[in-house]
Amino acid sequence: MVSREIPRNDSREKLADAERAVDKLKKEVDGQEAFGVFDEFIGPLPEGEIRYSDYAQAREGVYESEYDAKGEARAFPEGDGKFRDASTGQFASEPGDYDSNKYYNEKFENTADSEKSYEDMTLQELAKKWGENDRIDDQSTVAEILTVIDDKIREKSESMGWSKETLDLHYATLADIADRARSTEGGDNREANPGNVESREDIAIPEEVQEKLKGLRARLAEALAADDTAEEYSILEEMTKAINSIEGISDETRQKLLDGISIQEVVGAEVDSDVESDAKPSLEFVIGSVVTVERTSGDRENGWTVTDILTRSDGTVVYEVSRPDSESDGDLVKNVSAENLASWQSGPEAEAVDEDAVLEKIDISDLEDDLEKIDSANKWQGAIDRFRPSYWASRWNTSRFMKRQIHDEMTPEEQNKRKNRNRVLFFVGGVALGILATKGYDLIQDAMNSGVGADSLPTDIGTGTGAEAGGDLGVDTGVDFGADNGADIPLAPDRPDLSAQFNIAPGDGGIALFNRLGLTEAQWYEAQGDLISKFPSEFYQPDGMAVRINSSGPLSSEAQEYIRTRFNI
Amino acid sequence: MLEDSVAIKELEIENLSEEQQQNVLDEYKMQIGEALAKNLSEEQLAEFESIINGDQAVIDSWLAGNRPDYLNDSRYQEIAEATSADNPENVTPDKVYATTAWLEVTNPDFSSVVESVKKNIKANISDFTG
Repeated sequence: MVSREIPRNDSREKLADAERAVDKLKKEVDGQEAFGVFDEFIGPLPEGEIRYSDYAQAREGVYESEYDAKGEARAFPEGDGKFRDASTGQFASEPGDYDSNKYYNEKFENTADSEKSYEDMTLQELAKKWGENDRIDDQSTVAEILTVIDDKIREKSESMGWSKETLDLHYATLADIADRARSTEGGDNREANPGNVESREDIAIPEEVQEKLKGLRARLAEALAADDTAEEYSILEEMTKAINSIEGISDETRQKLLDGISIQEVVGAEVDSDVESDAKPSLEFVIGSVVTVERTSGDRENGWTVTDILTRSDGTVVYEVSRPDSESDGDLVKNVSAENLASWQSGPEAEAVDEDAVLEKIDISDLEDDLEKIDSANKWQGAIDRFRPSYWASRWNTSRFMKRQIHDEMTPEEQNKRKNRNRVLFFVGGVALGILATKGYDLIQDAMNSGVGADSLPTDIGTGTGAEAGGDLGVDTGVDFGADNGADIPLAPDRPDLSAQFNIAPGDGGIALFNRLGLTEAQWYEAQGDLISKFPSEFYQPDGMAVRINSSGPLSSEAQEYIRTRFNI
Repeated sequence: MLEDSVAIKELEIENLSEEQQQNVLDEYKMQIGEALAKNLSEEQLAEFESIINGDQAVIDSWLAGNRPDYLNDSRYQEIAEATSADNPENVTPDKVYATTAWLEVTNPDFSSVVESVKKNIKANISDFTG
């Protein structure tokens, strides 16, 4: 497996600077013979070292170029304009040195090309390059790619405020991608894993299911980025249901698909519930912890890091652990004992899990396409954009409301006042929707999975300018919404109709329901015990797991009433 | 924008052109603002305007009077996390938080107002589409 360790080395950055300098100079002498023309060429550079001679100043020693590179000149030109290596004494034109010159020449060219392309690449593309170069054992390029990955991840981490666990997830995902890229073309003898994409390429998934799974994967990516374990497993359950809903495929094919996401028995709620009793640690609490693993052989090994927690089909929890110096990176063990967690002093004797447990690992290979979404998955990040003056300026200038309620007979002051009022009201409406959308973050995903059936919608909506509706807060829509035109909007009824929010979509969990109702996750946990007690036909609770909703469709009116009364909604 | 995506789905206007969708969304937001404004005084609207314009004195004063413990609010912390970097337009967490909280304080039932407006718009779109 490709190491997930991202090396950090200042000298690498300096090398990159130096190589940029070389690239620039090389372009200046494009078309000339590089080596042997000392006043037109800088170099060559031993790999991994920053050694440059000053441009057009041929002398041995420590130089500083007109760019940022600084260091001891190791190869330097002699009076006849030829390079001589400081350690070997060979001239560049001598046969023994020819190949190395050519190597450096090519290296500079490759560096110039790759540097530009690496910067422009997405993280998953970089990860693939990482794996491909690792496969051919080009560790210099690997290090270079890792530097770019590291920079990109660090930059995003800082801007997004990622936790260590989120960072680990990103690195782990990238490492998985790299690992697959590394093994794509020969040289890798890993056993086939049904969780890998490659093993599912021959399966024809109905288009609508593909779309649904694609949407779910995007949601999963966001949940992973948000460290929302409950949501992750809720989505995974939805994926299972989606796959199980496919008709006309063999059991074998279905199983392959299920193995692909490996979710049928992965239940995060179980882990969560264990946290409360301190019987087992939470996902967030343990991942990244250094632990001791005791194998069935009795050997105890220190220094392993927990990288994942999975639940097997029999309900037992297994831990994925890795150790940098171990070739068996990604081992699964049943139990681990912590060395440094006060609230998790020790665990039962550990034993190695048989290899088939690997099949239960959550396969994140399908998240490649969603990496960019992970990067931007922060519900408030999007919300913040609503508050940027530039956003509202653009929205306002392109909307029709600059003239709403503004009449020719108004004085300029009155018109300006009205414009400003319209602007504020427009903002109020946007903020209201933003709050609701952010609160009910799951809503968008639910909506995305619902059909519209509006193929026959006309195309001329919103093209008219409309007549003034009159009255300060009358509605001049500019869009023909009907005769009422908003004037008779019933405002703030005593009890709003929440039937739509109480309609449980397939795969919906309690948290999603409560979020949709404007309630919090904590309120769900507060109420779940009472809900299952009062409405056992509508809620159920697998052993040791969180309470779930029994079936899709509208919740009973009694249950709806209970929730509404309890939370005064 | 998250709310636009949600609204497009809720209003079931996915099949409209982007321009048409935007027109409907603009109308939706405007009607919500107008409906909510019926419960607001001119002073309150002026206060809101100051907040969205980033008047720190007004923001501080409003937060002190209405959400004195806002720094410990998980929403504020989420917002602060999201605004910690790349913020060239000075969209401060205080401003964002105060804006959202202001709406909730002045219009505690704003979600039902939104719901009513949504129904009205949806109903009229349906009529229009026959």
